Order: sequence, then C-alpha cells, then structure tokens
Amino acid sequence: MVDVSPPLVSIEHVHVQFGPLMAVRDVSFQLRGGDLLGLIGPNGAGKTTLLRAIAALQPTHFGTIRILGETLQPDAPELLSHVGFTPDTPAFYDELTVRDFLRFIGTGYDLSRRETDERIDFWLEKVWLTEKAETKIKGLSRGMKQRIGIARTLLPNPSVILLDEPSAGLDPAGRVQFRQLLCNLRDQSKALIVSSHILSDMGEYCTHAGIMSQGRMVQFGTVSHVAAHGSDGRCRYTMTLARPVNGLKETLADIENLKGVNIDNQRVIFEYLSGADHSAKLLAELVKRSIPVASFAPNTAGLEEAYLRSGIRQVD
Amino acid sequence: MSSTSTVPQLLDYDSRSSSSRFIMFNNPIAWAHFKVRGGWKNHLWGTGGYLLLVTAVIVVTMRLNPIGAMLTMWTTAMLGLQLAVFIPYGGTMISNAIRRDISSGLLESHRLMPVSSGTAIFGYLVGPTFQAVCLAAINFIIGTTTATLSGISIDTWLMVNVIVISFVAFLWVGFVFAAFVSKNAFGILFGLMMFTTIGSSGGVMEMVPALNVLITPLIGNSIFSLIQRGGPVATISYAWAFIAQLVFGSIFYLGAMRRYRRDDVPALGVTLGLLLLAAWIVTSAMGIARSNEFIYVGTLRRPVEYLSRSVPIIATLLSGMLLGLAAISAAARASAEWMRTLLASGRRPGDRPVSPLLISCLATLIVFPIVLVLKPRFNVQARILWPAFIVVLSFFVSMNYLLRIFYRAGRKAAILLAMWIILTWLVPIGLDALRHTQLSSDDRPLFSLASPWGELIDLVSARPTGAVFGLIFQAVIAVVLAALFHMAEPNARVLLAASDVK
Repeated sequence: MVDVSPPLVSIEHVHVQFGPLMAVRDVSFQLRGGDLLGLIGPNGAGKTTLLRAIAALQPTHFGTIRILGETLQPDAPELLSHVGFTPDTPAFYDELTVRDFLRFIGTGYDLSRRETDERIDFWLEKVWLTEKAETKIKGLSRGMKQRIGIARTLLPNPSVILLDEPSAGLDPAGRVQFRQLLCNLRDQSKALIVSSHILSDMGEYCTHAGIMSQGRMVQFGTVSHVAAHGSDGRCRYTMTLARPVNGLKETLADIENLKGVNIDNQRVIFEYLSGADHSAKLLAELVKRSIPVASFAPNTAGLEEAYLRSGIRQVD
Repeated sequence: MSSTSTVPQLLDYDSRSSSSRFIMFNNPIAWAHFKVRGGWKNHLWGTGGYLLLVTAVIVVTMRLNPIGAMLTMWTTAMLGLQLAVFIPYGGTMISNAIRRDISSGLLESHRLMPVSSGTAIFGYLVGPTFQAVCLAAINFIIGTTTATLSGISIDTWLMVNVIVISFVAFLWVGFVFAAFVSKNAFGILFGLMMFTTIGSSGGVMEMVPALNVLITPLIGNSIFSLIQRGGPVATISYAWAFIAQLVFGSIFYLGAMRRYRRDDVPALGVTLGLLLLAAWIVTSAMGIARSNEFIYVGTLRRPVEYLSRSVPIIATLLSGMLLGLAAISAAARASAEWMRTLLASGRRPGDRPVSPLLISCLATLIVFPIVLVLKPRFNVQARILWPAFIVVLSFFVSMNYLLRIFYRAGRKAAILLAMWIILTWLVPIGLDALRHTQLSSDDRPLFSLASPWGELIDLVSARPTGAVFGLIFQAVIAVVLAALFHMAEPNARVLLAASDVK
C-alpha cells in the first residue's frame, strides 16, 4: 500500500557549508508520520550538521527544509515549536531543579503552568526520573542528564523529533527502555531522526536508515532495503577457532567464493555466499580441511553489515 | 496520555499573545535567569541586607557628623550608588548571563523555543538584572528621603533618576549587544568607558564628539552637578542625548536580536551597519555644533579648553571610516559566501547579495559630509571637502576588495584587516616621526601623506603641503586591490548561466 500521508519532514538538495568545507552535500529525503530514520556514518560525515540544519540551528547554504509543509526559517519560531532536538550533550541550568528547568521550557513553549506540570510528571515518569524532580540538575549523573535532555525535547510534544546520539551515557536497562520509548513515539505518527553508532539497536526500532559519508547521503531507504543493498547474495561469517592454526589465511583463500578474510587471534571474519545450504557446505569444507571450528555463524543482513559493505570503515 | 497528542492536534498549537512575554515572569529567559540567581528568596535577602547596610552607614555618619550638608552629600552618594548598581553590577550580570548561555550551549536550546528574538533580548535585559533593579529601588527610596530632608527639590531628584534610567537602559542594551559579539565584551566596553572619561582625562571625549553626546548624563552638565547646583534642568541637552541613545540603543537591540537568532552572521549586517554609521555622523555633527552644551568638564570638574574644531572633524572622519567597515565587511562576506556556494554546489544560491562596492560608495556619502560642519566658522571647508571625499572613498573601496579577498580565502578577516590598517595608517606616520628626529623640524610630511590619517591631518593643518601625492597613492591602492580581486574572481554571470542550464 502506498503511503499518501503528507511528509512531516521534507529535505530537498540541502547543502551546508563551513567556509570552504561542504559539510552536507545535496541531501534530499522525506519522512512521514511514523517514520523513524537512523542516521549512520563516521565522524565528520555530516550527521550532526544535518540534524542541526533540520532544527534550524545551522543555516543551509542551498536547498529547502520543510516541516509540516512549511519552509523552515530560523526566524519563524512558531514552526520551530514542532521540532524537538536533543544534542549529544544537552545543556541545562545546573542550579535549577529538574522540575524548574522543565517549567522554564514549558514557559518557553507558551504552555500554561498546569499543563506544564502535567507534562513534566508524565515525561519524568517516561524517562524514569520522577523521584529526581526536585533535585538540582548539577547533582545528577550524565545518563540522568541525558534523560532530562530527552524529556526537554518531548515536553512540548513536537511532531518532528531529532536525537543526536541519544543513548550515549544510558545504562543497558536505560537503553532498552529508551528503545521502547522511541517505538512508542514512532507509533504515535511522529517523524523521528536518530543518529547513533549502536547499529544493532537501530536495526530494531528504525523504519528507515541513511548512511552518510563526507556530507553525502550515500544510501537511504527502508531498513530492509538498506540492509540488503549491495549484498549480491553474500554475507559475512564469524568463526571462532579452538586453537590458532598456521597458514590459515592461505587455507581459506583456497576455498571458492570465500573472500575478505580478517584474522584476529582465534576469531576469523570473512565473506561467503549467504543461505543455509551454502553455510552447511562451507562448514563441511572447513572441517574437511581440519580447521578446528569452535563456533561458526553467518551474520544476518542488518545495518551493521550494510554499513561495513558500503566501504566506510571508521564508525564513530 | 494527554501530553502525547498526535500530529493534527499539534497543528492547532495555541500561542499566547507575544506582548505578554514582555512581562518579566512570562518571559522564559528572564524567568530562568531570575531562578538561577536564587529566585525570590535570594533577591529579597540581598535587597533587605543592602537596605539595612546602607541605612546603618547613613545613620552612623549622621550621628558622628550631624551637619546639614551631610544629607546633601548622601543624596549625591545615593546617585553614585545608583550608577554603581546599574552599570558595573547590572552590566556584569547581563554579560555573564549571555556568555554563559552561549558557552554552555543553552542559547541553542533557547533558539528552539517559539520565542521571538526581541522577547529573548528583553529577557536578558530584565532577568539577570532583577537584583540590580531591587537595589536601585532601595537607593531611590533612601535618596528621596535624604533629598527631602536636605531641601533638594524632589522634582530634580526624580528628573535625575529618569535620566539615569534612560541612560542605563541604553548602556544595558549596549552590553547585551557586546556580549553577543565578544567574549570579553563587558570588560572591554567598561574599560573603554572608564578610559575615555576618566583615564584620558577627557582627551578622547574632546576629540570624539558623538561620545560626548551619548555619555552626557555623566559628563558636562552631569546629573551630579544638577543635584548640587539645583535650579532648572537643561532639558534640551538631555533630550538630544536621549534621542541619540534611543537611536543607538535601537540599532544595538536589533543587532543583538540578529546574533541571538544566528551566530554565523555579522552582528550588524549591511543595513544596521549603515544606520549605525549615519547615527554616528549625525550625533558627531550635533556634538560639534552644540559643543558648549556637550562639553566635557573632566573628572576634577575643571573646564578643559576645547580643541580646534578641526580635530573633532578629523577624529569623526577616522572613526566613521572604521565604523563603516561593519557594513562593508557584512556585504563583502555575504558576497564571498554567495560566490563560494555557487562554485561548490553549481546552483544559484538565492538572490545575489548587494554589491560591496555600492555599500562602499554609500558609506562614503554618509561619512564625508561631516566636513560641512566646519563651514560656518572655518575657511578650510572648501580645501578639505574633495580631498576628504577621495581619502574616504579610496579607503572604503580598498577595504571592500581586501575583505572580499580575505573572505574568499576563508581567512580570519578581522585580524588581517587590523594588520592592514596599522600598516597603512600608522606605519607611514611613524616613518615621518622617525624622519623628524633626524631632520629639521621644518621638514614637511612625506610618508604620512600615504596614510589616510596623515593626509587628513595635513589637509586641515595651518600649513598644508598641498601635495596630491597622498591622494594619488591611496586611490592607486584601491585600483590595485580591485585589479587583484577581479583577476582571481570567477565570472559570476558565466557561472549563473551554467547553473540555470542545470
């Protein structure tokens, strides 16, 4: 079924330039309500700059950004109220209590005191900080501050949510709960863009993925589309050996269709044909060549695979 | 789950009237800074403590020295405290609040909120300074009491306070603007203010008449002398000063609004830059024409002999040439960025910015008419008019091309520009100064004519050289820089034609 709902975010040929450096180059895409885009790329790829441009914090030198169909301008504050942005390190007035800081944000978004307090209670519960409401922010840990940053973004209930490295600083339980929160927001027909380096997580909650490199969006589409892109019926395998083997690289190179061998002590990664039959045939071949296989697994097609296949090696 | 309404509900976002944002506690920025400084608790304790302290000191001094003049002295002292509370204390609070929000990244958080930049700037004016306002209210109440008891006219006391408030409002807006522009803005601005008034014993004030007008409440017929001598208020001087402060304050407010919204743009831009330049020249002209009213009397209250009127004219020309760089620099930067984006993207990046050369010509037309102020009293006007025009135009045209070359190369233009100005303004004068130590005192200027400063001084001197060497030299520099720029600049028309094909 074709999605005919109007796009909440529309990016057309956006360029962002810092002096002679083109940080974002000709990026275009659209997101509708319920879309959750995961942005992937190495340091300096332009992910944060793109997020800041969509939040009108970074001027674009060319191209158009539309939010809810209206062209974004830094001096159009009413439109900006529909965009929420959490930077990788959110800023606070540390002397204020969590509640007072969020009240300040509520005042900034023209919410009444009663409505602000209701929303504060709701979001503090969602980010598991209810008991810290009257604590001064300076006394909180980094992970807690990260959660307040998320609550600050969600307090005005924006329809477009931009999160830059949101799970950095969260503990494992926090990450799981955060994933659930993202899924809830996605299901409420909001458009979300999340930049993160935890690709395995992103594969679970994102509907779309975009791989950026040197300011360009080198791949964009649904997660399954991006994950399958360029695989050519092949996938990576991870094998663990029971003991080190001399001349392993040469042995493996002799096996037909096996490429890209990377040996790290007793852990071996390589590329081979995907599919259960091919996996079984390969395992048999390895055993036949007396390779002491302790464990052997094909990596299923995912964002991590797609990212590594794209040839961009440095992950931030 | 009322707080997680869906998109259609968000489209009906209800916004209260923006005018209510100008009430302090509806203004989020003001409210936050009020709370950061401890809210009502800290403010009330601070104000109560101050009231007790000042009252106790007054009572003790009155008991030790119970003469009538003591109350008059305390009224003047309360005025001094009023200025101290407003200017160094209030100014520091404003500057610290803004710099902190910028450096911590909170400013970006503010920018995301649906708060207009005008409202935000108002918040920075009233939020961090709330304590200063409370202390000033105490000063006012105590001052009113001492003025009443010592027989000083209450009308005079009220008038003085009105003058102080309007002056302080202007200064605070200046501090806000400066804090958005520079990290050490308050220190620089306050230091400059102290140097021009007290540090140089008024020397700078005498030369730069626009400053005399703007700082009128503190100098000349100052508010202090107003209290001491009593009598009618020289309303007209303060009215002119108020108008000048209002104009400059408005320009700074708009500049601060620009920087609040975007920190990648010049604070003033082309239009505000030209407006500031025009305001400076008009205020200078007023200061020169009405020099008797705006005369600086120095810190020791001794009238200082006013310099020859040609000195303020030269100083205004030179300061105008420097101020004009704000508009020209903004135009040059916009032009360079437009061309850079065109080259990088191969697409037409919106409308072409206004020509920096045109802005240079406009700036010249604004600056050089200051020479006409000489007309009624001096014969040098005719002699200086066209040479001054050539000096100013050559300088602005040179700077326009130089800035475009710097911006195109992506360099830090401000530093290179400062070096260029030192090289072309001061070095030639220094060379002549060196010559004069070697040769006789009758030796005529030579190198200094190559400097705009030196050339202007020579034009108004008692024995001008009449040499056109300096004028030709400065015009040649402008032509050479223009040639250098255009030799390396890609043809915009060709690029635009190619982008249109795309």
